[in-house]
Amino acid sequence: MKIIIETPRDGEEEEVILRCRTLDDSLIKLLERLKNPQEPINGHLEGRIVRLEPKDIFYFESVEGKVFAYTAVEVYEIHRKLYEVEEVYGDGDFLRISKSIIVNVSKISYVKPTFNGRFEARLKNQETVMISRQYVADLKKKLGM
Amino acid sequence: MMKRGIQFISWFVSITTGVLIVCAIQFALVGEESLPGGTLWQILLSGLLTAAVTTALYPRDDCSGKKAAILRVLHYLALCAVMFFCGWMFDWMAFNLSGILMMVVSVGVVYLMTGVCTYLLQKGQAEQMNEKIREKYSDEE
Repeated sequence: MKIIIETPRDGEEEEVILRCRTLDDSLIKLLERLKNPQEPINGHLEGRIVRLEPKDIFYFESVEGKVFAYTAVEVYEIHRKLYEVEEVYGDGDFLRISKSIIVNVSKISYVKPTFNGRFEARLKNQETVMISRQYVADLKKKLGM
Repeated sequence: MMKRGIQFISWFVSITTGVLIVCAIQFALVGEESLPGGTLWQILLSGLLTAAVTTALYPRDDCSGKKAAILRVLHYLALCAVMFFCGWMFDWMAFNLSGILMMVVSVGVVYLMTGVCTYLLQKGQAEQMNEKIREKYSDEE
């Protein structure tokens, strides 16, 4: 397969054009990677190592120096620092909402205020996570407000 | 330390503005034509003291529900203490049962009103955010 890389003219959008006779599985995977470039992350649970897709993770939480990834039903320890997770996944749907939590915004059902002057986010797996005041502006920005 | 300093200034500006509005309304209702000389300094000093108490005791974001509730009670009591001190210094109140009760209730009403207003404002913000969440992620499971 020939690969051609062209530099767009000033003002032109960057684009990827795929010219092929049949769209086979390998090309579909390639397109998926292009559309969703986030790498899976290794989760550790009871001696097993599981490749977790970012879209399946509801949130990351740092507890006593360890970082955990919460999926719909399981909690996996991941061997990365929370700031590293933020660096890698922060451009996608993930957003830091407190000192210890990075949430997948696409997994939020709704947010509501609390009487403490904070917001809480109810997730699609019925869990609730707190949003610190200082991160509310970032959430609004992520939502395009 | 820097963050605390900014919080303190922010509280000081908010509280002093609030007290000025209340005073303006009160003076308009009572029909006073001019402010007594020391009133502005009294407002500034009470603003400084309440801002200091609020910066120290207002529950921070990482407080758990129980700790936040305890801090709120302490904050309210400290605000009452500041107002009693100012009341004694500037002769704002009579130190008898009805004067003390009046001050405790006034601080409580302001505290409650501020909480309710903040909650209502945040409720509006939450509705806007929920609208965006529905728009952006409605096609996901």
